[in-house]
Amino acid sequence: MEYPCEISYGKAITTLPLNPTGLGKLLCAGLNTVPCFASLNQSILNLGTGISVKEAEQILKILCQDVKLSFHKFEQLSNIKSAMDLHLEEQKVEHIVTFCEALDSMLDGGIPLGEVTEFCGAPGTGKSQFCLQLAVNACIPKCIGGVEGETVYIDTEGSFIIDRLVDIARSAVAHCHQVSVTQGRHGQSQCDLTMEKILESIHCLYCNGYKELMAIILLLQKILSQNQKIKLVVVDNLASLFRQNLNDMNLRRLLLATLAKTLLKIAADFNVAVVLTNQMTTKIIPREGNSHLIPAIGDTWAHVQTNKVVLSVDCHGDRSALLYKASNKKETRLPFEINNDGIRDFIHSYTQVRQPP
Amino acid sequence: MALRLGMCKALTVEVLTKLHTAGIVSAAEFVSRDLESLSKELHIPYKDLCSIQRVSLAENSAYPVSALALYQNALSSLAILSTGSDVLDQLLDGGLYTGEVTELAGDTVSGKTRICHWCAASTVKEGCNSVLYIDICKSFTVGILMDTMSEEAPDPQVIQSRLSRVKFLQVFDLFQLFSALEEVELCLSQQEQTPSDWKSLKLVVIENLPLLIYPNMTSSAPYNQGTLSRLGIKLKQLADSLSIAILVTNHLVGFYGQDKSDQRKAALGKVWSQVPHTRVILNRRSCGLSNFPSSSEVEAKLVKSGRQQTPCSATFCLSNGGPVCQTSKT
Repeated sequence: MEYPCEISYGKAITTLPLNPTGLGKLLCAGLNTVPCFASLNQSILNLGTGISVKEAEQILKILCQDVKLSFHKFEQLSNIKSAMDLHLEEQKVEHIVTFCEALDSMLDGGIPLGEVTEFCGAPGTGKSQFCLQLAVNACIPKCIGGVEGETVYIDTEGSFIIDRLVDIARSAVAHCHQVSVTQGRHGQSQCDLTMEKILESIHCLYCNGYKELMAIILLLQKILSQNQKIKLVVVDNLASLFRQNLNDMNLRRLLLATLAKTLLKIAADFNVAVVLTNQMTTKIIPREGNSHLIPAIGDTWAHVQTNKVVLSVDCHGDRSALLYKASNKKETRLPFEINNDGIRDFIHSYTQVRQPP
Repeated sequence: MALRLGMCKALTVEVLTKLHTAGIVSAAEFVSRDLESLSKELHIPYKDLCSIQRVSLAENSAYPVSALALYQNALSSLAILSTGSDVLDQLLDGGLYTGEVTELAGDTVSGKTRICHWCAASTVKEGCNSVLYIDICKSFTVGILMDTMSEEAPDPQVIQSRLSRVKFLQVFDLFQLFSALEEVELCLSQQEQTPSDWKSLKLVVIENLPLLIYPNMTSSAPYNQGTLSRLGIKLKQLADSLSIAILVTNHLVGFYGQDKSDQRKAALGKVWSQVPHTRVILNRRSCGLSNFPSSSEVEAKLVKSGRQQTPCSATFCLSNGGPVCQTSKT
């Protein structure tokens, strides 16, 4: 096998995705850079390092691939985008609306495609309601400003309630027709959204236990490449699986990091919105003598999402959403409401109506 | 280094196979053997073995450089890049030094990303400097750059040219990061072929390093440490040979202690903690989710530095747009 030596001048093999045992054996044999493998075949490798012929073949394959990659001059560098390119692209980013206008404008138009967004909150603050609403809203047709896509809904604790989904879908259909009529020239509805269409576009996966979740997430890449219409991936609730039956903290860290990496990659590669929900936990700071509610499953996970919205309910039953993490946006808190139709803007007159009789 | 064909005329296929059967594959092993006994044992002429030894020693040894040459080199190529914030610059004795690795460690929403953007914006301000921004998340926001730049350069054309010199690359694992760094090195070392906007690369930002490394952490500690120190060596080598500044962001782990003795420290463990030349820990009274809004004040604490006294801290404000700084150094 001939390698063009000047291309991969002394690239260390430790920077290649080889398996640790094989790598160890190669290093012991002093084969530490790519050019060392010039004019080596698997039988010499076998003899010199004690690696089985089959393994040696795999190693050479990976090395060969690497050399080929560096042949395509600076593959990664030439595909790189500058801030100017990104700025031009930014205006084209599509969003999935939430139907709560205040929240939409806070997020520059809704949940952005291509990014990971997390909703956190204590039980009963409306996390699952947001997920259902978004799953419905993902299939609003393009003619009235939607993304007209399908949804993969991964449910881990039975919060995918079909009756509620139907309610939300029904009022979303009515709302879309109304918008379409006011937009249309002849006072006729241009939009052909029906409830069946919405329900058809939501693919629900129920999973039980973190192993199933990992399997589904790792399979997502395949599912998404087969169905290009999918624009939204929902995981409700991510935290619950990792907060039980998992005592090995190192394993949890490894799993969560792999999960994060896969979800980020999916969001970027397929331009889908990834929406996660997370529970809350208590952090105690002895120095300050008080405790805070913070999103669960650890400090590392907190860095993964691009946008994080924290939902809460105060003692009067008023709901509010806090934009906690988003680059270049101020931390803002705003009220919203959940009624029969789904997530809506908070309208002040309701407070008077809700006075006790 | 392995013994391989073509290294030396005396190292023929026959000799190599003989050496392999005696269990000698690397140059290190070969050099450490007694040549006379080896010659008797394997029936290879002593002279041949001597010449192989000479070649392998010459090939693998380093050559000395005088300190004066190093000093002159440093004078001609050293640059100090401003972070865009006076307070931070003062804390870091001028800013980010080329040839060094600087680390910012902090919790989520403590302002790491924003500082990285400031650094990028102030680096491209000068000459035709360019910046490479690497992240696993999509935290790169052109808006922050634009806000920072538009404060002092209202001309849209200037901003456009500056923006086009900030490059963003999203990588998803450690090996991708390695190959990107390798490409940068290769691209910059072949001077005639370097694309013009890469020629004066001055800053490489690597965000969220733990997220890139954790998926590759196996249960074997030596392998993990090996990975981390390899990355460390790579970064330092890159910084040094190309004379660029490297800025890395890291997370915080550990518990909150009693009194003021927090056990919070930068993630990735002891091995990694040796790597950065300078380390700053960011601390923000973020609300979490208590009822008051987060304070916009961030405390930056210098915990490792070759130039300044440590520990030493300063406070600055995170605002939308450019940094508004209240200097207070303690």
